[in-house]
Amino acid sequence: MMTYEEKIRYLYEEKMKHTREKRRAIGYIDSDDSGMILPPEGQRKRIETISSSGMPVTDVIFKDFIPTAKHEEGFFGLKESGENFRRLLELHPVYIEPVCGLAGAYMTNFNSYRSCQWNPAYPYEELKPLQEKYQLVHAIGASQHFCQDFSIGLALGFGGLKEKLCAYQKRNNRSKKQREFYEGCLAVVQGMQSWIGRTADAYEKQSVREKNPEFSKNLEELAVLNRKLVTEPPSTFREACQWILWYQLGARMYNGSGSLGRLDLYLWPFYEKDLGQGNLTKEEALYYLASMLVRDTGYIQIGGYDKEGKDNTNELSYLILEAAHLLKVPSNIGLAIGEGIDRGLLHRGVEIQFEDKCGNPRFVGVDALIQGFLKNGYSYAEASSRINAGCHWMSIPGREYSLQDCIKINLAAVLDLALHEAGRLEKTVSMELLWRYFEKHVKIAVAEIGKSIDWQYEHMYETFPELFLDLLCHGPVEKGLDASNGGVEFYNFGVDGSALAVVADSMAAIEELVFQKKRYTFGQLLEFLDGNWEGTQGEIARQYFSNCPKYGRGGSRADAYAVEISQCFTKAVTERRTPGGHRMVPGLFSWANTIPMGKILGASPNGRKAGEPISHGANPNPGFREDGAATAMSKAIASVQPGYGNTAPMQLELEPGIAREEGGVEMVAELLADHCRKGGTLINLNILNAEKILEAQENPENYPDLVVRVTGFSAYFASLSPQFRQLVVDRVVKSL
Amino acid sequence: MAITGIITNIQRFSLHDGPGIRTTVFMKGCPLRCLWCHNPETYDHRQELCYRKEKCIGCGLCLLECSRQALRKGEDGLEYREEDCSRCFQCANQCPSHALFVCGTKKTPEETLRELLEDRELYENSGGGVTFSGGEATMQSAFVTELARCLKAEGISSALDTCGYCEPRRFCRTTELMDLCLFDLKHSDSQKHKELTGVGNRRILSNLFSLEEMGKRIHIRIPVIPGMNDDRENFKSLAGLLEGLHQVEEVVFLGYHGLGLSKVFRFNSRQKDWGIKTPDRAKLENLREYFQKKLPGKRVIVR
Repeated sequence: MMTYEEKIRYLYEEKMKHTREKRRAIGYIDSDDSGMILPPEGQRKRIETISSSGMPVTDVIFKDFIPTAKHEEGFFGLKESGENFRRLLELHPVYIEPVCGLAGAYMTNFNSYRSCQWNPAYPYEELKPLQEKYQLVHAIGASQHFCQDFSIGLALGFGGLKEKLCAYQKRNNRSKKQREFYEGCLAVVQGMQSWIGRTADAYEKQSVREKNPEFSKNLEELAVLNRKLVTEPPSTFREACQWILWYQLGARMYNGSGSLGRLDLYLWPFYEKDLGQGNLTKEEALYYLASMLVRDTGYIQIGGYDKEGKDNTNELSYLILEAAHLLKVPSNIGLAIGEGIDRGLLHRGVEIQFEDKCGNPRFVGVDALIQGFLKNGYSYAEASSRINAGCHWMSIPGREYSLQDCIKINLAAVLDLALHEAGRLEKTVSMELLWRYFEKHVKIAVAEIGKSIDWQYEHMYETFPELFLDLLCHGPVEKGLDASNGGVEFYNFGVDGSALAVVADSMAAIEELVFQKKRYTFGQLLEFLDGNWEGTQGEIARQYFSNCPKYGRGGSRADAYAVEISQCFTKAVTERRTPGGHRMVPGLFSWANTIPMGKILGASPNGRKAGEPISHGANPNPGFREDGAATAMSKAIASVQPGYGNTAPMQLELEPGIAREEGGVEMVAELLADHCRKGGTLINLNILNAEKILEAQENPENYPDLVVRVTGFSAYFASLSPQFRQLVVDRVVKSL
Repeated sequence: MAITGIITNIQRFSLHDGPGIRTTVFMKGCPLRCLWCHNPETYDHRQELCYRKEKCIGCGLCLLECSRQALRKGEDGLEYREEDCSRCFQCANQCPSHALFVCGTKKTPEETLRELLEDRELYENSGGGVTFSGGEATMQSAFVTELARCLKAEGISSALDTCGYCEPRRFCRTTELMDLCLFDLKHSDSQKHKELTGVGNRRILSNLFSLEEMGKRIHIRIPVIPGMNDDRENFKSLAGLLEGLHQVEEVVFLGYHGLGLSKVFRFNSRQKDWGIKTPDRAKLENLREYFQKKLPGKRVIVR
């Protein structure tokens, strides 16, 4: 008999094997390492496409699946999306794994079969000029990035969901939109039931063929369990894990959704009951959790507050952490830090960070997030139920649609426009004047984003609706309305500012070199920027501009500017709604957009050359202080929080030696807690050795198991493109 | 005249210089000349011109700035004649890439305190504080003492990281307000100590005994430099010496590493490469075990 620990080790090896194969078949993957495995060799083909996060990617698809569509541009809308997804699910092969405690693995991204990311019936040509001028990563065409509520699915099961859909279908059949909504959702459920049912059949057959009695028993158990889950809701801990996994696989496959939410709370009743009745041991629970985590890297929050503000961290919060610890593959667990939350969880989280060096868990500053979200007029119960469910983002499960992490304003592009316009229109330029131009253009950029949000809200359901997440939301099924189109209760669109450090450092450098020391005139600066700092004089100037005190140093002008920029951006985002009346919530983050946003941007006054990546999230630029002090960075990032319930994460790299210091773990825990106390909202942490990461950069294949947190997401270092690897390397080497 | 200190660097989130989260203030100037030292720019207690060749873009602005021709273009970067330099540091002020820089910043205790207070909550919650290091911090005794007094008034704990080579009365004055002394021991034999560091160890040991008498908490730090101080006899005597010191709570072995060798910023101060190897982990571990046996009541660690 294999011990549970051996089984988890086996799952790790299996994951490594799949990762190697994926690397061979797909090449670099600059995004979440989800649990996707490859379709069988003869059935797949490699394509260039757009990911569900809007990035150009290489992917593999089933070569025989051709979606049906009325338009030659591809399939669109509720009915076609639902029907095509059903067909895809019906032909999806069953993956059989005799050791895994749960069945199911997904092999393809439905999004990759879409040939057009926006329905051409709803053009927005008049919005494009300004979107391009401001280099906006706007809302139109973005999907998912909000969080479902699993309590709906765990109570109903797929059979119950189907009944619920049918019941409301009868009631809400007046409009074509509603009729097509139910058809789409029902097709999705039908597809899932087919996949689960075929899995049960295949497992049953395999259990007979399987020679190893232990594996055979596991297969048989999973056959019975999954047969039940085709229609019924789960009633045991294992069934609940399996149900959640099915849903995650389906949602991930449909449009890349990776939100999961408070897994420790969803599973708690099942865990408590099974444990109490002697039907489950802790070790077994760990194994089921690991079986889930190996198949999907969904964003989970562990620990937090209930609606009265009481700590609802439980034993499962710890077990989920331990399962990821045993597994040591990429995972996305957000551990809640709060003054009223069990400090033991934080301590254990930091310990695991040092032991595993896998960038897991991440840390969520829930106190500041709740206080911030209250400012939008929500109740405490609503604010405390808003949990970490994505790269850098929060969501009220099942009740809030927000396109988190999809919308970015490159503040460095805005600055560029402001500088050039001031240069064109003003005879004499002052710092105050420049600032006014910057403010003006921030407002215009935000207004343009607002228009894109409204257009998305109106027509996304006619492009690519949220049929999967709709199932577990409060409202869409009841109203017959897609979540993107008014189905849920709350609409708070996340609008992130990017390149904070580039802009803050630029402002401080302009102030010092142009207006105080008068080393260069404003006109000269513009010439240098337009000429990309070319020539000897350009390089000399670039050195001056890049060596002014930076944001993050503490007490510098750039630090002061960073706060002002954040406030200016926050004001612009919060002071008015979109023309359609939707609330926008500010955050500071760039996600993986640091590279593409930088690529299209000209030179910046902080010495950045045209085309180079912009700064990462709310982080200072590398080299912000000679000692790279984490405390200085922590304080700086805490000071620039927009403070409305969305995050401005801190990406922190620490060296492994700290853990050897007496009390080292607790000191790091204190550093994190202190950041959150000062207003910090999210911390992504890597424990990395500079020498190791440099070696890995040289020979990535020698480090196949090196897991790093890239931005909000975590991935195998060797699977990242050289450019992405370099970003991680620069951050680590310059900060340690 | 107001007291000022010459500081080479202030390092926040310092975790190796005493308990908890600390800020370490590196003071300029050192009476020792350890053969293995990576930081010759900290020898002199005055501000001085330093150079990071890899940052130099060869623009020549510094040459134009210097009216005394103390700098000239050499075959491999800049050359510097210290005797011709008036220490106006205009060249460094004009250097666009900060390849030329002034090592040592003049600061008042009040200015320094402001910077040190940035992380005060972290000191409080982690049992940390401020550590004075160098160079040799006791060389700027008046500044260090004044700053330690200010810190005490703020309720922040101070530690001194010292080589122990200091005039005894000044040493006692400087350590008086310190809650902890990190005391370096490089060799037990005075003659050998002189060969390795330029000074004998009698004054150092005498200051160590004074700390013991003053009842100060002491952490001993022993650098392990293969081929220089890693002989058996030395460790045996050091262990014997420490046996009698009740105030010593902790003994730390610091294995030599050559990482800083390439970073010599001081002009005309070529770091001689002695070809020192990094001591292997097992040897350090043996050392730790040996000391732990000899000093059962003290914490012995390897770093």
